[in-house]
Amino acid sequence: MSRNFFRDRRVVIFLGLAPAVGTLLFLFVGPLLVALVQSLGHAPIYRVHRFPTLEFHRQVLFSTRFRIAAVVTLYYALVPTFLATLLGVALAVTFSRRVRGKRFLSFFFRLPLVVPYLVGAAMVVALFANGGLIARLLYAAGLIESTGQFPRILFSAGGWGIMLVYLFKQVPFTFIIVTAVLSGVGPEYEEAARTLGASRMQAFRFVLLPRIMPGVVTSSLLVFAFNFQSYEIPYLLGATFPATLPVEALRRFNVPDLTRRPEAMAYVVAITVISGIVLFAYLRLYRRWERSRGGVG
Amino acid sequence: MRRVSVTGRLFLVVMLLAFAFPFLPLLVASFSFRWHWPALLPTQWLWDARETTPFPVGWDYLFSPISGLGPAFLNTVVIGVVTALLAVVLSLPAARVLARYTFRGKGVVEFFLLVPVIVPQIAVGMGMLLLFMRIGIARTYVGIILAHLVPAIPYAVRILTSVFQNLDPRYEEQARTLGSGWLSTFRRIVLPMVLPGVTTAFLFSFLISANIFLLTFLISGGRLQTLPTMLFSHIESGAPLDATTAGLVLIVSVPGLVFLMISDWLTGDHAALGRTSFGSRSKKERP
Repeated sequence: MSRNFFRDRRVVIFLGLAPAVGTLLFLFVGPLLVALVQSLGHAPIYRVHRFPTLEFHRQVLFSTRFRIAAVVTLYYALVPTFLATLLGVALAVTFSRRVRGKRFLSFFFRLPLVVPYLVGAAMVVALFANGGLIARLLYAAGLIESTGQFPRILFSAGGWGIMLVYLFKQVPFTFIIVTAVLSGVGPEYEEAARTLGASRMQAFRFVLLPRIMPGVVTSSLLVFAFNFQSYEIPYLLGATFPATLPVEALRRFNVPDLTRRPEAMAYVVAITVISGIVLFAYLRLYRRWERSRGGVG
Repeated sequence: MRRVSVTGRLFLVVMLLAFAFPFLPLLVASFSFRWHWPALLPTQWLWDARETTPFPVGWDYLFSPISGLGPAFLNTVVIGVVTALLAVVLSLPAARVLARYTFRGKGVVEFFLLVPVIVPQIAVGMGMLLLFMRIGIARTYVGIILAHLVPAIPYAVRILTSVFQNLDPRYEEQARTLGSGWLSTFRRIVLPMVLPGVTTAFLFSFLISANIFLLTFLISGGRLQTLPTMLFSHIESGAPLDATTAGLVLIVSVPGLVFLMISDWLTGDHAALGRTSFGSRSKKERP
């Protein structure tokens, strides 16, 4: 082959993209197709030959269990997304001021980000279990007399334990992304606004927020996408019933009756579709908001 | 720059406590032997119990061969290093193309290379297990490494694209004009300039791999343990303030701690970690 072949723009672009795109086609699109096809009734290894049928999807979507699971999953995902975004942005903005011991603080503000979610789970158990450290502190303060009097934070439908782990990991995540955006914005605009008589709230709302909004949207989007599909945290810290969609899905995947696998696949297809719809709606909403205010230079 | 207000300072301290304090009870618990309700400190410490107990407990147990910590640690490191190497090698050419060229369908390619980050891993993982069983790589190192590539490649592409965006292509053109072949141009001009960014991409991919639970759990089927899967089974079966779980939590946190220290030392910049992920899409700094 001639040297010119490798100088052709299209060839360069194709060959450059091929390794990463090809790998993901095999490892990402492939598995999703397997899940989809099996949820539609094609699973010859389990002697399920019903392709194409929507029966498994119908069976899953019309069950009460699925709907309850969908509601709690959305709830456990949305509440921490909202709170983590609020706290993370507040933390990043506060941290962008002149602060003593910046390096020290920033090390600990990023620490939860770099450890597995399971570390957060172990911490929440150590602190908030009925025999945990906070219950012991309350006992020492004379507020409770036995472990039974401590409110059930873990393994209950309220999902407080789950959401605490998410917050522990995701406030730092939001912090780091918004901090990066802020460092690109610089303090000048906000200072100019304050000098011209804007209150602290006004300067944030009308000057700083529009500039960091893309970062805020990206981080909250990634946080929600993660929370909605997380398995190990709701499995370890959630109630047996109601369980989240991923927990229900893996329960069905692991039943000894393999002919029920398509049901599990219908679950994960539903998880993917619901998550996609929420993310898409969120982005549309943001785009519309951005257009309505005409964008910032 | 404005000074932080008093409320602001209070907020920073509260956040510092929220992120740093939870490590403390686990550190204490890891040295405990018994910690009865409602004691605020262990009722019996590890070093007081050593003579009386026939079995190793806490740290002694973790560092004894029966705990399986050694293999789990080794698996985590080997899988992490191979995953990170592959992720960087596979992403490097794509990142260069995305940073340098505009072409039809570029938006679609960029979206495709990011989308594994937001698509539920449980869906990918279950389908992948069936696919890997079919081709005979389920429950193997190869299978787990391939699984880890799915979340690692998007981040590597992201980091490396910004590396190439900051690299002026005229250096390469000049080297080529002066008669250097593409290999020696890459080795002598491009590589030295992108090395810090490539190192960041490698370390970040390693960290992602070292922290993955669900994909490993699904693909390994419990046959191969890594630090996160080991921690999972300990949390699942252990009591709160259990010494072994507590010690394991501290060990599982080591890769992240090392990553933080290296990345601070490499960049001297606390915002670097954010820039390498998805924060500032539109910003293209040119030297």
